[in-house]
Amino acid sequence: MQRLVRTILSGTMVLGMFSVVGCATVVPRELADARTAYQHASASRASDLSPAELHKAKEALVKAEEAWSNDAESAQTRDLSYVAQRKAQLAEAMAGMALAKNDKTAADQSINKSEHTIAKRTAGELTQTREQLAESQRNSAKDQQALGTEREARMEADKRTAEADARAKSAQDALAKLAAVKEEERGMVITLNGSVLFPSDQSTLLPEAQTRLNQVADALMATKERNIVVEGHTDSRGSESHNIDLSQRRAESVRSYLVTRGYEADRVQAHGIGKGRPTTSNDSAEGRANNRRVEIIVQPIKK
Amino acid sequence: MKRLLSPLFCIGFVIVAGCAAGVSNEKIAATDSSIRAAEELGAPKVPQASLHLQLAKEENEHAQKFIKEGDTKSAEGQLMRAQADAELALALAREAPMQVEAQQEADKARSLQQQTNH
Repeated sequence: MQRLVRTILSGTMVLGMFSVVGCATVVPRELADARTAYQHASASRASDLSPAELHKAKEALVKAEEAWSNDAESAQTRDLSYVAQRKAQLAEAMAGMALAKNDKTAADQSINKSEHTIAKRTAGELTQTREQLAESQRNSAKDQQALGTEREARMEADKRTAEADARAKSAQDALAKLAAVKEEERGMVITLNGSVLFPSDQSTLLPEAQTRLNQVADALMATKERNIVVEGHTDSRGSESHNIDLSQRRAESVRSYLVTRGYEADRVQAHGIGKGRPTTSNDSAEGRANNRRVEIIVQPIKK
Repeated sequence: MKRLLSPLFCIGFVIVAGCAAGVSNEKIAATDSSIRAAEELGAPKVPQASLHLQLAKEENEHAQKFIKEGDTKSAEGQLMRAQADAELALALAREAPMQVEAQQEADKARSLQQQTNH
């Protein structure tokens, strides 16, 4: 800055000095142009970017001013002034070159910095993408594994269900040979004749009844995942309370026997129904014999 | 007498010859060289440089004319002008592409700077 001020002051002094000397005569156009050009150059970046050229311009102007003071109207004065103007313009052009060079250097540095930043960021994004991809692949593998496990579990469950159904069917077939079996809404109902199982008016199982119940129990073991209800039924003879009591004890006897044969106690219930739900008329001896019965209801699996 | 006249004659010849030669060949050659350099470095393609190149050529032609006419003083004046214009044309021819290049680099730097800010 000081240099700029110094240059301007110096130029102004040069102009001022010669202006005073030559004030009496007309300044030629070339010299006026040279003075303006030099002032312009002095005020520009030439003072710090092309000081050598500016100095040459100053020397050229001094020469022109000297020539003018010696011979104001000579061709030499005009020639030297013309050259001085061109030298001042040359100083500005040189400053322009230096400025362009500086600007380009600064821009190149900025470009390098930006490119470095972008490259770094791109590398970071690439790493992140790779990590996300790897994570995604790991998750996909886990999902595939879980899917496989789930499929296997489902197949296993289906297999077990199919096996259970097959066992139930097999049990049903076996039971059909031992007792009356029928499918009702409440489940598979196995009806055992009471006179085969118990002595008259008692709830203790007959020895031959145990053999038969063994076979029933073996068949039921194939469906041990199902709940069972044992119901005792009587004919219409005797009081209601007696019949309820007798049918309850008979149902309990059968329940206990099934439990001793391996059926889970929690899965077997016993109810005494009494004479309330006859399957046929109690008017005949045969009808009453059919009504004295024990029903084992194998309940369906609740899905 | 002959011996005395001979050197004087020589000295007089040299003085006359010097005056007749007037403009030195070095000045003429330097101006031609500057004009050629400006042309070769692309001054005709840069408008402002082209103008000063044209002025330099015209001034050089005037100088040649003055030399032929024996007007040494005017010839030297025109040669000075031609030399100054040729040098300025050369500088302007060099400056223009440098400014274009600097501008292009600055634009690129700005564009990249915007990318880094996003």
